[in-house]
Amino acid sequence: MTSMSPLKNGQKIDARALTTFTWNADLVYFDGPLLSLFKGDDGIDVLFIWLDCDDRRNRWSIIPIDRESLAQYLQKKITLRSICLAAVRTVIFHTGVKGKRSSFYLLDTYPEEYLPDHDSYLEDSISTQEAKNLTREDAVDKSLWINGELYLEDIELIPKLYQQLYSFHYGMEYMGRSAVKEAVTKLTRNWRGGISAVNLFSGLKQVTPAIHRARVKELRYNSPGKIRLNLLPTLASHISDSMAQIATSANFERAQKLYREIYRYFKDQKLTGLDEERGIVEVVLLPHQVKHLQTYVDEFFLIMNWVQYRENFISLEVSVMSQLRMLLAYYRRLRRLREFVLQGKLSLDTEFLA
Amino acid sequence: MLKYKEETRAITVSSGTACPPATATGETREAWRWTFNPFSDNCFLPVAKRNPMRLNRAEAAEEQCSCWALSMHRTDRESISAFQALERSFKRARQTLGTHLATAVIDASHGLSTAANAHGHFDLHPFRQVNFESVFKVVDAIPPARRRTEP
Repeated sequence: MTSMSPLKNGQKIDARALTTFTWNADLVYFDGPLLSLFKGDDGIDVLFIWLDCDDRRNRWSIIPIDRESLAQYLQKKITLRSICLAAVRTVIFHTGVKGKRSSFYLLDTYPEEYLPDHDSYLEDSISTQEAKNLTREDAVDKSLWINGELYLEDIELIPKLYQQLYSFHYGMEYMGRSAVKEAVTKLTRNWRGGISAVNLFSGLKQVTPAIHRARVKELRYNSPGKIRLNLLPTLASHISDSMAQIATSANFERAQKLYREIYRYFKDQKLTGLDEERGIVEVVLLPHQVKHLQTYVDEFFLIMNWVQYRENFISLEVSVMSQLRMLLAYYRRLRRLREFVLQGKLSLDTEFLA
Repeated sequence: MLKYKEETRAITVSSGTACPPATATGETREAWRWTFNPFSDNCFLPVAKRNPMRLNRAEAAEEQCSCWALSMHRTDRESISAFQALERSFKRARQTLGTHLATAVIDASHGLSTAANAHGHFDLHPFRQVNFESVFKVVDAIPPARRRTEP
């Protein structure tokens, strides 16, 4: 018979007072997770740290972790102890036999009896492959160059479109992460009955830890100006490359032709399942229709020159209809961003001359 | 016959990923496992039986499969090293993972074992008729971690 240490302090709280958390990755796992990274609906990364158990329950703590600390912990530069000590608040909760979370407590300081050692680094022998993968690429600074007559809505729209494209590429590039693959599969499968295309991009944001998100480092506008971001360089390159693919009139016309042809095919086949952004009704496709739609997916990949994503994309267990929706939602955003580029208001790669 | 044949077969069928992995063999090898002393009823139960509430995130087929196996290490050194690394971060690790080191030489009569990872950890998918409490012998208490200065 095992027993848990009694909690020495802490205020009991209602779980409903807490945000909802989305699982991002297990960082330490031995016969089950011991340390996991989650993201709250408020966008804040948190660590779930296993603390204790008895015969009936497990006790966990939740502490927030900022981008810099997470990066340093994953790189074995700081300890779990230092993160726990720096936590401005700690939530303790318990899980029972069915894994349901209950008995939540809020503490001002991390409970002393569970404080990790002074040398509680994330050693290779205990860190998961997922934890190691999170540090495979370091974020770098990159600027979106802006110029010309811009309005507030432009300043709002440019970063929003860029962020959505970034989320899409994150999904494709990090499909090896279980949380990402689950999210993409779930979001594309559930893409019906009024759930919009935006859900795909916002859903992917929920499984992107802060260390992988595009963070604003500087915002300057004096025609020309820039939005300096700290982001994953591979994803930035992929966005630039995709933009370059449809930069020329010939390639853009080819993409537009495909886009129009897909919608014409849907109309001809009386398939009502491919709305642009809003409510979508799932339809059952006939084998010849599946085959035909697959040629559109292939053609889109060809136009975008996305050789690197083909394998990950195929591994998604979603219908060809869902795949097309995802690709066309991406294309609409890229096309909109292209308009800013053509108008000389935005450059992804080259600084405007003052 | 595998002790958890039904459960592992269900994983194979639902995921298409073989469980136990096709590479698991009945090779004769030294095995080290964290246990309590004396052995408790749980010492040779897989985590899926011993502590199912910790499995709510085990969604990947490989993870689910591993949950029906017994965790082992190749050597005592690797076993102690892994435990101490965990205990530095999780003070109550002994509460759930064990307090002592037990060892045995396992072979094709005991189950199917996977290849060891870089840190010496492997899974043993046990056979039904094996009484592991008589196969394994407790050697010693797991020594507490000494303070280290380098990660």
